[in-house]
Amino acid sequence: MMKRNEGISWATIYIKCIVFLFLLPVGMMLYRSFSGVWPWPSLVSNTWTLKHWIHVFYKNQSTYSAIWTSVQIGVCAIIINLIIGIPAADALARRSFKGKILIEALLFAPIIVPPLIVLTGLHITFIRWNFTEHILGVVLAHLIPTLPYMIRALKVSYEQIGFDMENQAKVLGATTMYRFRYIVFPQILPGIIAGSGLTLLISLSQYIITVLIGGGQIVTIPLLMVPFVSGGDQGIGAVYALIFATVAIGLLFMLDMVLKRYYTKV
Amino acid sequence: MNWRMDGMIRWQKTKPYLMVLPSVVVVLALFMGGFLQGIKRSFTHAQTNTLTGMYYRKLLGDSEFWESLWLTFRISGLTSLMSGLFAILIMCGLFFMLSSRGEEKAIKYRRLLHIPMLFPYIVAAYVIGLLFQQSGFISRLFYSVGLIDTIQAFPVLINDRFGWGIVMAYVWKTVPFMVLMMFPVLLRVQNGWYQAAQTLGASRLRFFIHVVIPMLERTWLLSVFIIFAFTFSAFEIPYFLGVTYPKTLSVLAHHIYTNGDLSDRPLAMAINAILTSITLCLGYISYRAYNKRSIK
Repeated sequence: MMKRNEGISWATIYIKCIVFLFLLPVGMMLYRSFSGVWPWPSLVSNTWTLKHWIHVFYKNQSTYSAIWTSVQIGVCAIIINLIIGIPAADALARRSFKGKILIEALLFAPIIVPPLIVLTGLHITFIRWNFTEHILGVVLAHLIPTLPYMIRALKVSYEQIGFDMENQAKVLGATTMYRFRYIVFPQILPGIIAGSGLTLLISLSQYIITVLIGGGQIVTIPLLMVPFVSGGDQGIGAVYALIFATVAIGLLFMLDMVLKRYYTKV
Repeated sequence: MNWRMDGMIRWQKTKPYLMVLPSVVVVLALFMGGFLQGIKRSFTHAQTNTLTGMYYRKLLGDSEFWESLWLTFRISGLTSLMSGLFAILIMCGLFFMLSSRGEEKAIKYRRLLHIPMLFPYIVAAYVIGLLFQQSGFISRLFYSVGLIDTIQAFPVLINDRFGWGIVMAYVWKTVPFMVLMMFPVLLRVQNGWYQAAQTLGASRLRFFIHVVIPMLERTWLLSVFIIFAFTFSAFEIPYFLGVTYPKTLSVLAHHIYTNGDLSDRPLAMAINAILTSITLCLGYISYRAYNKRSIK
């Protein structure tokens, strides 16, 4: 019995060490955002300061507009992804048709082919359509890396449900809209939330797509961070990194709450 | 009545195509459109607008291209191997925990391990710099335990020619992805199996090596391949943590594309075309390997 307990605690310590290793960078960001002058050999900062936070939130008005732009782009991407992704996921999960594997491969290809490869070509196309330097162009470009994840998440949900309930409702005279609203929608809601969360995270973290298609005119949070990544004031960089995490966690938390409230209501 | 049945069947057959149509149109227009546009440009002479293979010939004869290719291979290879190793070590720990402490605790720690996924690549580049710069936290740690005594004694790991900084930033971002992919497999290990093995005298570690690892193998291989293919043509981390020479292929392509000389742009497209072909080959190989193992 003694021996067994010993083994148990070792596993916990081991996992804790690994978790510590992977969360150390996050801790560093938090620490750096509050530390003042911090000369090289000292392990801890000798002064504490709020100046980085003040700089970002009071002296620099572009912070608020960057957060707002990021959220706008993310939400637009979610809406478009849902509208085009729901029927596609339904077809891929529950219906069989010729060429399904090919279509699936096409729709999931952007997962392994990073968007940068197609970005230069897309840039030329967008210049012709006059989509560059406009938020609409950026939203469209963000669909490339996000749509595959949305379809994937929805597909998993659709795979869990058959046609029985819908057919029953059909016999009872429910219209297509009604069947979707009251039968399909509640069952694929977890997929909708997961897909929206992924879309949001991926959209929020895009840097090169936004720069190239937005032509520097559309400023999102990652763009504000650039001057601080290598060189520049590390403390301000830390604040931007934390803003990013806060926006991401906040929005994911809201999505999660929506899901929970929906299910307790039903 | 008959024509109505015919119509119904035809409708049932076309309906799935109509359902995937919007997504297919979007992917074709944005993704394939951009891709084909790039391919077309890479074969078109910038001044005369005639068909030419000169950009590919120019690339293949350029030593910078080959150095970049080698650097890119090395970074992706190291990243996927290190992430794969870390993932196995983590799975081992989580399995020990799962089999002794129950699901809830293991799930709690797995959640914590997902946190790095919330940060974009640009933040990963920033924070790895914060830790591993010559004046960074790790260097201070080394100094305080007496391993180094000057700032120069700490090796250059950020913006270095080998690409260590890039690899570390990638590992930080991709290990959580591997945990995400592999943990569901771990949950499929039934409690009874281990108890049965235990009565036959197997230790927890032996059980992990002989039963759990074979179960994880397929997902592990797929995840490692995805990481390799993705990091092979990803842009942001090498852009921020790399050096001017040699650049990774994606950064080289971006550099050529944005350097202002329009007559060089087809060269960037040619690099992208080569990158895409390698990535697609890797994707195909991993898909085949994954399916082959599922039949077995």
